Amino acid sequence: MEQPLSFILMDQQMYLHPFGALYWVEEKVLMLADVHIGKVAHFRREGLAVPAGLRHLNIQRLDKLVAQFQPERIVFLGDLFHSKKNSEWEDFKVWLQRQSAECMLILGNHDRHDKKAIPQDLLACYYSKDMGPFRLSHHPEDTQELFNICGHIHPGIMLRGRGGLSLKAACFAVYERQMILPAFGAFTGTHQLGIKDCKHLFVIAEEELVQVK
Amino acid sequence: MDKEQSIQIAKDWFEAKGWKPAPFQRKAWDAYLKGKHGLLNAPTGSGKTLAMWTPIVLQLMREAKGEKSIKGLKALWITPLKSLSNEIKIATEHFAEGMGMEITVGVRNGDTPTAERARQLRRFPNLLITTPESLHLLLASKDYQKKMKGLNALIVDEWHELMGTKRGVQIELATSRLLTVAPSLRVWGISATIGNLEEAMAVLLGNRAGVQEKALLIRANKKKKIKVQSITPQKMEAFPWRGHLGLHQIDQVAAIARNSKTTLIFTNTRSQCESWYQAMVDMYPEFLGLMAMHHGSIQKELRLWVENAIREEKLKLVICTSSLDLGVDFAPVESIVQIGSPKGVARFLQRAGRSGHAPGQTSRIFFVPTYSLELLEARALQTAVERKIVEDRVPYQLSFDVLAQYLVTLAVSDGFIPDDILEEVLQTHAYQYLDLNEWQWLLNYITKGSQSMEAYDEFRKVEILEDGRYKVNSRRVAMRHRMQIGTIVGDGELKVKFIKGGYLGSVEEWFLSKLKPGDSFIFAGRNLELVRIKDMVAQVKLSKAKKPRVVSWMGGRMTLTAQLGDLLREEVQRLKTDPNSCREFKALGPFLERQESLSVLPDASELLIEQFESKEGFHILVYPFEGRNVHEALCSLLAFRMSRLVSISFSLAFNDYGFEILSDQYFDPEIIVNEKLLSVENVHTDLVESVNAAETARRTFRDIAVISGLVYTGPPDQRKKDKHLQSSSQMFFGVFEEYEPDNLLYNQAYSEVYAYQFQQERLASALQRIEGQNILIQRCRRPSPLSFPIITDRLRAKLSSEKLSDRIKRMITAYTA
Repeated sequence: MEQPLSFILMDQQMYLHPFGALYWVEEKVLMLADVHIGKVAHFRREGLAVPAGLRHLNIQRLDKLVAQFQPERIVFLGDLFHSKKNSEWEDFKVWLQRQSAECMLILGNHDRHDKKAIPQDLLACYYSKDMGPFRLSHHPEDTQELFNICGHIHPGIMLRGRGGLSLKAACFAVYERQMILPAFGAFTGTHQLGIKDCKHLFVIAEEELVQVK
Repeated sequence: MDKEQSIQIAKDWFEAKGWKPAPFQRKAWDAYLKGKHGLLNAPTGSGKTLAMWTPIVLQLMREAKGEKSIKGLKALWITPLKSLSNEIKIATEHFAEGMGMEITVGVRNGDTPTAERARQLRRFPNLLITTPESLHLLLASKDYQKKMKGLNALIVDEWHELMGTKRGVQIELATSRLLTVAPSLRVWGISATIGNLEEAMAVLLGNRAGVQEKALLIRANKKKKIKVQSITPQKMEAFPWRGHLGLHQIDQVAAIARNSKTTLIFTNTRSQCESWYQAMVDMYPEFLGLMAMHHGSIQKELRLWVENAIREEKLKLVICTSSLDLGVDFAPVESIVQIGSPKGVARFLQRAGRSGHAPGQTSRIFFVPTYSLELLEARALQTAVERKIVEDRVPYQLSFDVLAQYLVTLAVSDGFIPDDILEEVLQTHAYQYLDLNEWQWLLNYITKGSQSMEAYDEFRKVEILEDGRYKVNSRRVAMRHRMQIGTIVGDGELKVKFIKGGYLGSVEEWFLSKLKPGDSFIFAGRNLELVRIKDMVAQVKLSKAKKPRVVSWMGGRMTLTAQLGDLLREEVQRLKTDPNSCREFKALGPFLERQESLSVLPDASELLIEQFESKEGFHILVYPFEGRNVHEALCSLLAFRMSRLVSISFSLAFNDYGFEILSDQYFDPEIIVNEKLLSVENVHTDLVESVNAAETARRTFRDIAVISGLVYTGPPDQRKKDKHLQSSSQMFFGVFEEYEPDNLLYNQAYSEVYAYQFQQERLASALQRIEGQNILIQRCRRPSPLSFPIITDRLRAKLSSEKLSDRIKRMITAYTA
């Protein structure tokens, strides 16, 4: 069973979840970035044999998160959809219909490929959204007044230890005025960050999170 | 005109030139004209091209019945290197002219312009010289069966180079197809000497009824005298402990070059080649204008210029890599210099054979060890040459990735009926043990992208038509497939160009990604400054920087062959018992002394294990002298068995002499002896688990993912357009591991590791040998000279029995400490 990790951010109680989600307790907001719905089907349609079973993984994980936190609002921090509309979008629409929580999407670069097909009746779309002390966005933003929570980067790090040991993993990266969430999507890669620049760093180690910094 | 008459015509032509056909040439003509298949064992420069081409022309003359020309594609000539095509074209055209025939000869490979390729498809030349990849591209073109049905000959040149690679498997598959398509086809391989020539012929021809029976192995039996001399350093103390460039012996190499007409200097890597060239330019300006460099990443025109210049005796000195291993004769070459270990006897002999081509001349090769231990290899190579030892080439078996690619290739062109192709595929050597479940798996893979039907699945690649044909209908899929045909998977390469124009060659993406604009590096013999990277082109200008970086390429590291490994152990034993018996051993004096003072040198009855601590952690070193690949396997196996006893993480390193297990926790080496961790018992099961733990298969999977079409890697400009289809083999490996562990391609990664990388059979015999040895444990204060090249290796594998989160936590402690 996945173990969330408690973290205080701007005097607010947060939980980081090993799936790559962030839960804000006071406001009951669940945040996720870079889900890339439709990526598996898109690849398969072009003849690249990503295991078909993988297409259900995002929904399964979303269900687990909702059951665990029971959020009132779910905010997708961009790149929710990978490319053009395909059958995976339908599955996701059914999932949206099942939600009692309010769902919203901060549009990311990928979401623009088939914007008309986004079910806006079930999913309110924004370019960015301010909530309490936070500015929620897809691309990292530099705001003076608000703390930025964003996605887009797919952060990962390479850890090195004694004896020539090293490993790579996805992570949550926290800076002075910003937090970058890892990519939630099941078939996505990572972009390597420098550890030095971060204030805090949480690495996803299978079902746990480990604070590196 | 009967057979004897036509042979007489050829003999007359030879005589007019003042030549006499060699017995092996006569045998080959005769066999070909009798309709036989076969393998011709002949070295470069022996007249092998004419041995095969002559009877092809004679046969065409008979078919032409007095006409001067003949229509359609008649012969395919496969060569592993594009650069050899032109030579063959010139030679074949020359002979056809001499016979008074207007035979058209075309070249088709990755460098052939699009317009020329289109022209060929409309009207094929009589002889097409091509590569395995381009041959498969032909099989992916519409109506290929119609166009190829008149083929008389398929000649596979340098078959020894292709066999033992997946390109060889491509040839096997193409042969099986063409034998059906062209009823009068004769298949011939041409091979240099390898240990298993009979097998090489059987692999090429396959098991089709009637083919092997009609086959003949012809040996040129040209005895060549080879003189091997190793260059020992003048100052023994100056000799480094670990592998390096070998530049400290540049004076002796320059002296060799000065005293011969032309000298080829073979280096093992392109970066070493660049460094030697630079050093020669700096230290021996006398060679300026008489010296050139030749390696695979240099612009093609420049390489061709160098090759011609060698032939025309314009060059005194050429520094090269394996790019000059193959190919036509360079008559003026008098001396060969090999820098660093060639890692195998066959490769060493091949290179030696590039010199002394005139009849009766001796091939001269100088071996320049780059560090102390290579002096042992120098001895071993001399023994190998004396005893005429050559290695086998091991052919690939059941490469599902290549078969998956081939099936899509056929589906792209005319489409295929599975049962017909299955019959042919089962007749190849590579797939003789393919079972029907595996076949069905592959058919499902290309048609459904999985093994079970998912609701609403949009997978589209190969479709099954009403008439039962398997066919690709999507133009996008077809185009992407054509761009990805082949089995050589390289890192992404960027072109290097001057800002003002002028193409220099290509460099691997990962090297350039480490440079910032303004940084300088040496490439193609020039000191360059990186200005910017734009549209997959690295723009550069000349630089005067004092310490430029040398471009490095990842490239595979070669392993010592089993044969050379055996000889090496003999030499270690001799060094121990008779340290003054030869020049090389005397040069090893200081090394030996230091090894004996810090540790010991083991004899043949002993296995040495060294243990010491450094700020890196706790080191355990083991020296079986079995070659790099076997050490990689032994190292994973031992580390895995150790990690079963305690929760621990290791980093592993290995070379041809031994291996290292390094950890941040202490592990008592006595346990290796007491718990029998080097026992041959359960070796297979333990190895399977250690491969899992050590992530070795993950690396092997990279090529499989590309070849089988899981990962799309088009040319750079296409990649940009298809950004949405970018993924990595690592992502696939991860999801297969978790969601589709029975995936055939995923499992192939493991079987390839056991069979080809770890060389399981060699591993088992090594362990048996070790069981009979005395284990000597040496606790050292400092690293011994034997350990030095291993512990300083930065390219390391990892193995762990700890939970991921524990590993991270301990790394953090190290990181914050």
